[in-house]
Amino acid sequence: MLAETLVAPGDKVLDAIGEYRMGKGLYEANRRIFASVAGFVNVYGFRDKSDNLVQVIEVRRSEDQLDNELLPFHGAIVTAKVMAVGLRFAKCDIISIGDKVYKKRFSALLPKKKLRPLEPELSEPFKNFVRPNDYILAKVCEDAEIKDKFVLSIAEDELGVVLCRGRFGEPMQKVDWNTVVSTRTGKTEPRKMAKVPQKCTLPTQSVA
Amino acid sequence: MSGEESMPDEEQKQSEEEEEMIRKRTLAMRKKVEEIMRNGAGLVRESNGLPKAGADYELYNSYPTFNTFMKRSEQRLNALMNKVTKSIGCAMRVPDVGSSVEHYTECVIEAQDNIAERAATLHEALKKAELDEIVKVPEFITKAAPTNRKTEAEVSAAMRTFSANIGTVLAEKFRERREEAAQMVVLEKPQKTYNISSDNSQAPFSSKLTVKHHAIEKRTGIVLHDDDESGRRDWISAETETEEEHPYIAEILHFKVPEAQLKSAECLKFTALKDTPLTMIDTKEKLEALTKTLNSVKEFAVDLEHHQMRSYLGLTCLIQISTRDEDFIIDPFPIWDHVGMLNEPFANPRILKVFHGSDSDVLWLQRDYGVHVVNLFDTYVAMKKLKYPKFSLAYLTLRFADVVLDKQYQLADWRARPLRNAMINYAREDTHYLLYSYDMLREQLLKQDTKDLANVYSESSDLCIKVYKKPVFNPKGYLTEIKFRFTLNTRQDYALTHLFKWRDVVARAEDESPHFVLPNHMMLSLSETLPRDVGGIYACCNPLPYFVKQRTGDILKIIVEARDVKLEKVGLSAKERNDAQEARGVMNDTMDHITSVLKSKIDFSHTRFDEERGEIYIDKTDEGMDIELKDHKESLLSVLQTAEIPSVETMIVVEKGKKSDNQKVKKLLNELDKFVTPFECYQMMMITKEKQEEEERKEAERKKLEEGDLPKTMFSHHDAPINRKPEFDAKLLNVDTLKLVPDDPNKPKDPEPSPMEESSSEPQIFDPSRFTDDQLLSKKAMKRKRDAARRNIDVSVVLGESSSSSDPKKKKSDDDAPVEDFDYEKADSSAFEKPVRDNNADFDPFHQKYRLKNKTKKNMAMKKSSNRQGTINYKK
Repeated sequence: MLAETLVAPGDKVLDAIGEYRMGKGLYEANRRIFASVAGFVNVYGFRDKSDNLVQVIEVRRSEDQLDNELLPFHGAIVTAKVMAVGLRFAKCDIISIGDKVYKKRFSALLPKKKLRPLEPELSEPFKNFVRPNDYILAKVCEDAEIKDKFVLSIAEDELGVVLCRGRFGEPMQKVDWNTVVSTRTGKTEPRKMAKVPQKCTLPTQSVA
Repeated sequence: MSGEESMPDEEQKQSEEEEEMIRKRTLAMRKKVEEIMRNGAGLVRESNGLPKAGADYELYNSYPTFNTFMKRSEQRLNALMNKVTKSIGCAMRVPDVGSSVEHYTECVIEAQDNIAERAATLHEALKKAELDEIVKVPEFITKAAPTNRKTEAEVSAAMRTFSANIGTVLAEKFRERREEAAQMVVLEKPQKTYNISSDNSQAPFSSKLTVKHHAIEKRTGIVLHDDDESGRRDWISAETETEEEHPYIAEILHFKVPEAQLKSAECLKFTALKDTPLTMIDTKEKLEALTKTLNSVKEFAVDLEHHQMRSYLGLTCLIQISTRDEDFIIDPFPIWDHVGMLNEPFANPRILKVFHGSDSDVLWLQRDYGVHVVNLFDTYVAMKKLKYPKFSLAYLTLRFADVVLDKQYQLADWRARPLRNAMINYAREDTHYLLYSYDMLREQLLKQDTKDLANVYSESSDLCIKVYKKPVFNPKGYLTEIKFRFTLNTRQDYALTHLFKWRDVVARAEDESPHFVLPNHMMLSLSETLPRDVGGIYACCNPLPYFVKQRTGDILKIIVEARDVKLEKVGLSAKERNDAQEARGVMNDTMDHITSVLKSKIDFSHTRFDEERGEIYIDKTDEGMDIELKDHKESLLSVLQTAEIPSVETMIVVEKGKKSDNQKVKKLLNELDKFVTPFECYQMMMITKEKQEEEERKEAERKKLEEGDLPKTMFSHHDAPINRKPEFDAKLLNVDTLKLVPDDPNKPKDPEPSPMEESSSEPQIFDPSRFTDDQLLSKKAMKRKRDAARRNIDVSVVLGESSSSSDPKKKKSDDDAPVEDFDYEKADSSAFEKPVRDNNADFDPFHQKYRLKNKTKKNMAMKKSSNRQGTINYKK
């Protein structure tokens, strides 16, 4: 009865929380449950550690998790721009989460140990993987140490650099998964390229 | 000749005519300039009346009519400024309408600078051409002088200071001051010398009035309503307001300003200071004479010099009186009790008394001599009425008498006797110019408004009504008197309260001011630090006040008591709590700009919802129905529904009048379509990957299915032996190790052939020399092999045989032999009975040697163990 009802922010969803557990998109005021976002009421259940059925009620906009999240969430594939490269971290700005582009850029960190799968600590310098002003595909992951920023990882074959420019702003072309070559000078540089079809290309004229 | 003679005459005439012309021109010019100046002054006055920014301007500005008017006048002013400056020849940069005031001032200053510069350059050019005498810079025209203009006296005073070498002037001043200070030291308090008694008790003040001069009969029972134009207060209310009766209350309330004082009269210029006789009054006879003179004059000016540091209530040290042509200075100390006779002229309503800033003077006269003032004109009040820029006496004399008063003696110690000439002069000047200033003020007041003069009189008589009251000691007075830098705890509060009280008691007893006994800052530092001993008290007070030194014991007692006070937590006041909450960001009930934005109507989290009380009453019958279900079309939720994707043509927005270039747009859209975002690439990749995986899985399944058709290859012990070639070298391996080599478990073991035989039977197929052990054996096997090899070596060394493993029998016999042969009887058991020696390094019952890696530790352990060995008794 409740499920799949359309609600607007401020609409009452339940008189009391009852046996449900509060999910996202809801708030409690005067012990009543109101919707805080517009969407459909959804109830789902899962079994916790002691094998009790927990029913969670939430308001979501669509089935897809991507559409419901307003922030970069754990496991999301994001497109980010590398802003600066340090010894242990690269500073990145998340440009888009999945297909959605936000007005605000979220700053994120790409730790060195999350560059390549199965290799916890690398002796190779950072610049062999990413350099400033590269556009990368990365996955948001959780890190126990870093709590104030989003932590990215490119430790998958499909993740890595997708777009990069050379010293003079010229686009770089992929040679293989670990090398790019400048279209202007012919110089090769190491990168960790994402194993994705190179469909997105930079305009050929250089941008100052 | 005559012609020749006439020539100079004509020239003279011409020059005279020219001079005449120039004079006329300058006169006209001067008139113009004067007019401009006057207009300018008027402009300033008018502009002061306009609403000011920060006061009323914002309010007025909210009215559109005012706003537009202001804008228009600003435009007009700008145009005028532009015109004026252009006509001068140096056009100014006129700011835009609505520019800030700073911008305007900047522009105007720039323009003025330009004008001045231009004038200077022109003047310079004329000078070069030796024509500068033609252009005479006109004199400064006084009339619309700026307020900060220095008068001649002021300028000359400044000149005196700056004409000489500044260092010498300063040094001279310093020397003078030091001499003065040395002279002005008061060795004995005049209260003591002249036996002036003062009542410092808490008792209310009683008037010293002995004879009430000029008393009018008080008619009781008649209520008078004084409705005259001066706007004086009601008789009744004024009477009830004054708690202690003023002796002259009736007279003051009934006082009507003499007609002559309200009329315009000639301003009588003061006589020069040196031409005016000065009389020092210090005997009763002289005082009587003064009273007589004062009774005969129409008006006189009065000023007092007061001292309050070394007296609890304060002490009037000097009374200066000026009539039109005489100055008097009364030294009241020798004739303290007789000064009261001055009450006769002071209370006379027909004689005008001119004071400046009389609010405290009137009270001091009452307190010390019982002299009351009726018919007072306060120049300070008049200056306020005329809205002068300053209200000081110095400004008054400067303005009217053109005399600069040296105010350096204002705070001097006036108790010092004999009075020095400089101080006498200073005291004299205070009143000397006051009567003339009064004349001028009166004229100006009459010019401004007829009512103003009457108002000044009524306000002045309000000052006369004041009754002297003794200061009442307020035990918590320090809370208002002193600004605290810190909050007091209970101990500090105790100390401060008692120090404050002690200070007051001492001050009353010794007839000193409380500040002289213990200044505020010392009292604070004492109560803040609560020193433990006398040294600490002295450290808090620098320079050490006389009474602190004398009565250190009292202070110490207070502080010791304060230290014993229990420390209690003082609850915060409501305001402090509010401030603290605000600092923590807790929202109060007060609404301001931010909270009003933050507070949402549907957000109840900040309201005072009482959890104890439970839910707010809600009509249960309607429960569940208080959400009205709306159609999707009705509600705004239809936004959520995905709209139809409009066609490209309808989406193109073009400027009016231009045709939409569909082809271009399509081209652009195509280009845009070609661009693939990285995430789309990723998605494509993931899809292809999934497909691949699917295919792989399918492939695997298919293979499985294919394999499922074939019979499964199962091995069992019943299967025919598969002839597998063993892959090891029998020469290097023992039989037992061979068995443990984890080979393929499926590989069936063939029991019959021994490895030796195998290797010997088929040496051609398998050449072990081609392979190393590492290649052939597993790690475990390698290890075993190595172990075995070592063992073999050992054995061979000890027993002198090549290999023992292949010959177990012999080994066995080796083991058995010594067991049987040993004879216990023969053996010497004395070695066991002795305690074990240190040299037996091998003995280590707790394996200390192996546990400790560090050598030193090991040595220590050895020592320990040796000690232990020493104690163990092996006998029993």
